[in-house]
Amino acid sequence: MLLQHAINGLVLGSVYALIAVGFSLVFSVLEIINFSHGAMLMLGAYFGLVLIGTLGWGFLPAVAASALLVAAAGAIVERATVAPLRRRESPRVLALISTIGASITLEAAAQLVWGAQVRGYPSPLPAGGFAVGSARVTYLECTIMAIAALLMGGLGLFVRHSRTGRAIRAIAQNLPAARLMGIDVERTIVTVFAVGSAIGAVAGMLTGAYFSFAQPSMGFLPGIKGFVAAVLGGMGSVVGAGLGGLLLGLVESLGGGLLSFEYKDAIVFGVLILILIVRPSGILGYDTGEKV
Amino acid sequence: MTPARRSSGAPAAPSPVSGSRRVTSRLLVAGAVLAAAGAPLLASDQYVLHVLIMWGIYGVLTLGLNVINGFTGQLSLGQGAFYGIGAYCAAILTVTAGWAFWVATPAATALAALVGMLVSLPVLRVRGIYLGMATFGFAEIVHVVLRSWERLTKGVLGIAGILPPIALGIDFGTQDRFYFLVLAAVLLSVLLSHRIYQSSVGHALLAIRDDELAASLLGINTTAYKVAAFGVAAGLAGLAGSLFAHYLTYISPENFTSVESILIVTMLIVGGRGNTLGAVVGAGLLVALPEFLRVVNVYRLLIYGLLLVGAAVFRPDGLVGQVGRGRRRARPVAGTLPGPAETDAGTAPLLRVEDLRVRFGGLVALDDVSFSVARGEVYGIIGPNGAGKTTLFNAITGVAPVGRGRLRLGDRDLVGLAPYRRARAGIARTFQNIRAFAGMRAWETVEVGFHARLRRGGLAHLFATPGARAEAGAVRSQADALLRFVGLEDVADQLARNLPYGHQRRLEIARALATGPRLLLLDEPAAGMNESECEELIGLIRRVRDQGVTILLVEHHMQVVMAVCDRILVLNFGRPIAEGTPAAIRDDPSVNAAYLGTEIRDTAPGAAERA
Amino acid sequence: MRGPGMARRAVVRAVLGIAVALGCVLGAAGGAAAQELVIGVIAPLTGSKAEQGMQFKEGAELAVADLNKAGGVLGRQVRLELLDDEGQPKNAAAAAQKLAANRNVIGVIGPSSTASVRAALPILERAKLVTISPSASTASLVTDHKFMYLMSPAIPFYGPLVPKFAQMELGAKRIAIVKVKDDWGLGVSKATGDYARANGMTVVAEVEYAQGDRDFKSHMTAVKAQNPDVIILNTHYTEGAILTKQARELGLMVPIVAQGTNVYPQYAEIAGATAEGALGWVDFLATLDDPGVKRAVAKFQAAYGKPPLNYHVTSYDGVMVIADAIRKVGNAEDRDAIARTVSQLKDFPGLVGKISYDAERLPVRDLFWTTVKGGKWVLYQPTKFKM
Repeated sequence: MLLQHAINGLVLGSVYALIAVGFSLVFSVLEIINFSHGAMLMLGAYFGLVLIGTLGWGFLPAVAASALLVAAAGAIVERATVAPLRRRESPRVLALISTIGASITLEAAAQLVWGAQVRGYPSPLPAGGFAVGSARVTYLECTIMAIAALLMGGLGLFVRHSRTGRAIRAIAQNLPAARLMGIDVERTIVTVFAVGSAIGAVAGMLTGAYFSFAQPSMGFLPGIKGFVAAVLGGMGSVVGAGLGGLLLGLVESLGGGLLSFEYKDAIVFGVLILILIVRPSGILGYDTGEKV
Repeated sequence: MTPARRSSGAPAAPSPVSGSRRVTSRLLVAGAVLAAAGAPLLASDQYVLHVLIMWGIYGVLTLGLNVINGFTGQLSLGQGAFYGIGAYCAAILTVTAGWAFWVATPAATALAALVGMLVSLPVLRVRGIYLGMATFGFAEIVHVVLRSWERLTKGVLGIAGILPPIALGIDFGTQDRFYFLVLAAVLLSVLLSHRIYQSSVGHALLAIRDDELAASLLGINTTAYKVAAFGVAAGLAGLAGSLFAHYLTYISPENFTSVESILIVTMLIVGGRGNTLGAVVGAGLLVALPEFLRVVNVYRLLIYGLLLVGAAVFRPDGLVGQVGRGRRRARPVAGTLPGPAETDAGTAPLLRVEDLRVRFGGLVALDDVSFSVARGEVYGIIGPNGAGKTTLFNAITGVAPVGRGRLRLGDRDLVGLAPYRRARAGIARTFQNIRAFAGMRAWETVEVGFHARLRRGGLAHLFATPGARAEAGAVRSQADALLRFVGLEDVADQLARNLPYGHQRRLEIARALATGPRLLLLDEPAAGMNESECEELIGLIRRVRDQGVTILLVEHHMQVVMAVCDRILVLNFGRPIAEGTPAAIRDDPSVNAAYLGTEIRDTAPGAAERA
Repeated sequence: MRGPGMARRAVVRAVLGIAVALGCVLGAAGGAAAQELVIGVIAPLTGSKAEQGMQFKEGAELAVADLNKAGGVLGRQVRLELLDDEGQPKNAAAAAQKLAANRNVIGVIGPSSTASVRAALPILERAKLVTISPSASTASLVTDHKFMYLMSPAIPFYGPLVPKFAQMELGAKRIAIVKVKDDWGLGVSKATGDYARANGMTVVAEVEYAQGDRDFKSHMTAVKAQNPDVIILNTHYTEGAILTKQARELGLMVPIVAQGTNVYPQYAEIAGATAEGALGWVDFLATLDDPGVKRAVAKFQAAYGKPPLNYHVTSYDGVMVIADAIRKVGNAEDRDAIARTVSQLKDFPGLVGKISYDAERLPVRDLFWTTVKGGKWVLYQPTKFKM
């Protein structure tokens, strides 16, 4: 039973990792929490649903297209709700409020367009799996973990080696200096939002397929948990997001299975508070001290 | 510290204009209260009364949140948690233990406040957005507990049959009568909020909001204040919860999700954060609007989300906007506030620094620094950039951790003392990058410096007892004197951040002097000043010294250093390389070498720039 | 910027804000035209239960349209007042306040959940408004409140059915119960457990989850470890479907008997192939070969382009019951009489079948067994089970 819980936790954690990386990237460049990230997950799931269900696309092309669409959505959210605040040098808490508003707006819009009811979700793979010791793993679960690993790895390489990735890291270190160095800060920030949202969209479709349903409110809780994972692993670090996601998935699954189902969420949030108090920089993050 | 020339003892007569304004505002307030009280008569519609009651309950919630979010500037996204704790506490006490509303409500308020303070102790160690997420997490935890701890809360079934309040045989459960209960709670909360804002308590909170570090270095125990503010916010939420429980007579966990906390924050932002009136208005708008939109309810969420984005982007100060603390209320009263105790008179050095070592990770910022400063001395500290001068100040004031060594002020050992305690022991400082209180006017900035010297407690000032009012008057007159002392009496009403740079520096000095320090640390006060400004500064420093304050001066302007210092210490790469009179230092070859060989023989103008 | 100027502007803006708020309130309160009869509907039109709410809306709207077509009630036209409670008890109370304040309201359909009903009940009771909830099934709501009625079968009636079915039809001895943590889930699971234990069955696992949970691998892993003969799903259909899917993925292949909204088509849609063979009971099934059902399906198909679900039917019936009571009493003012008349309902011709209220004022309706075949819920004829 322990093994099964652990496997469940890893699958869950893979999805959390994908969500976490979106928060982490945005935080690293802007030091704000993009509360609307969960909504990107939901949009990704719904776009995929429309592409597959109504237009008859295959799963993988739908994932790619959905990711692109949601990348655009993420860019729009950034321009509309975050960029104006940055221009005015507003306190960062306003960005939190603003993105909360964006999240609510997107959820409401989804509800208007697609209805509030729960919809079934197509699965890209036939049902079935194989045994690992006393536990069972489905093909879908393996696929989810594989896709998550691939995306995280790809993103890590992107941040490390590409020009945009270097720009991202420069901005994360020192935004004004990066601007002075000739880096197109605005374009890079929009890219960060777009990339993070796109990955969130993939997470959304995977979530939909895994749990077999989509609903306008489906992004809220996973979004929050993705945030917890990002904090756990250390904001600003792709590897941290991955680690944090897996760890959180394990904590939730093992905590829920072995300790208490009902208090499962409380355990997750308890972990969050503990991390924030004891080690706010997370496992892999760095401490940004205040200069006096 | 008292200036040599004291203001005349007679209190300044309030101008006739401000007097009539006060009458008008009092009439307005009275009118509003009367109108509110008369509502049940005017609106016979039960539904309207219902909405007004919900407005009141949310008003209390928002007013509470305003104390911690608005006044103290600490982002709490967990107000809903205390709302739930208060509601459930009241419900359980009433239904299970049979307590009356009149006892259960204060109990619920107290419990919520207590939990709030306990939670805030660990949680307030984090700042900004992280604090927001921590409190949000707490709200989620409370929701889960309310839902799952069935033995206590009956879980999802909720608690039904909460009896309405009864007193003297009158049933206060009817709509009309309950409205008055809620109105009383709202008025109480408004009064509390207003009194906090106007009193020295609020002043300290606002200082913490604008610059917590600077506030603590004025002697304000910022942790205690933050915890207290959190407690007040939680307590008011608990009060609202009890009212809610007794009104609906049935509560269930779904009323207290973390989303509820977000709703309350929205009310505050839309209405006006940091503003008593704003809190009430915000609550009203966001209670009434959904009712109005219930007809087009499918768009309700959409409108709500857009409203939130719009408020944050276009009107972050909310509908009512930022309101200053108004004109100065206190009548100036002659009198002196006692300064930090001088437990050790005599000829021993005031400040002793022995073998001080400060490291940041692998970098040794200060290495074996030792010196002592005599009473009444002006002691200068110079050195190239990166020599560790500001780090030295940080170590003395308790901002930078000391690795090794001793720091003594008089006979007190400073190492290990929290920054606010060192300020109370008699150390004040100004900052290299001016740390003004962004939202305050010049007079407010100086007055808050007196905070640690107030002898009457926060409660006395809250209730404006005669003793507290006299104290406030003394503060005013002494603040005026200080403003005159630094030459800023004409701009007392200006916002600190609107003042020219040089004036802001002088304001910082006045604020530091307000704490009545024995030792004043000036961190590059002449930065960015031209020659004539430097001359004025030299004069000011001398006048401060003449008041009996010992001064530690970090400066690059050799003109100022040479003119005003009795002795100088030279640091380079965190180590002392020379100490002596200005003349000796000027001629010291190692000092010249440290400054890259540039000679500082001349103290004539222009030459100083080459140093 | 000078202090007093700023303060004055702020006060002006504050007054403006308060004026807008008050305006909204008064606007929402609105007047009431004389002579019209109003039926209030308190339903979750938005939020997670919006699907149920929509059924209330559509069922009630169709009923009111039919009433008005036939000349109204006592010669007066009927208007529907639709109020969204978002599935939140406190909003249900607000909606109840609104309806109670309107003298023209003659009856209320809704709210949907037991929690919302509890919040609204004191207010509606004070106004003596007959309230019929199309979906709630907690008997205690009705017991002490003589204006409250249910339209769906109540838990005391159907609670023992599923374990009985499992025992008689499937020969089960070891049962596992999965329940959602809300009023309904807890109530029906208690009835399930009580019956099982009193009749020689063992409850080997009883797992609960909170509404909104989506990950049940841990739960089903624990259930599997206990080797049950049957799994009883006292859940809503989303979770029920996911539970079914995840149970099958874990290799747990024992029969599944479900109730509640699990018998909606979406259950099969979400659970896909793993839903095949699941069993359940309904009070209304669109695929039933019955003239009344066929009529109802045709009616809703014509009006909304889709077949009705059970709450469409109960909402429609609720409106008709209220209208009928008023007609029998002869006026819309004697609210006590109206309530009394409703309580005496006997063989009332509902949309699909006959409706009666028993001595406890709980509804008596026919129930059918169903099973998932070919991705749809269809009628199931039990071979060994007898009611």
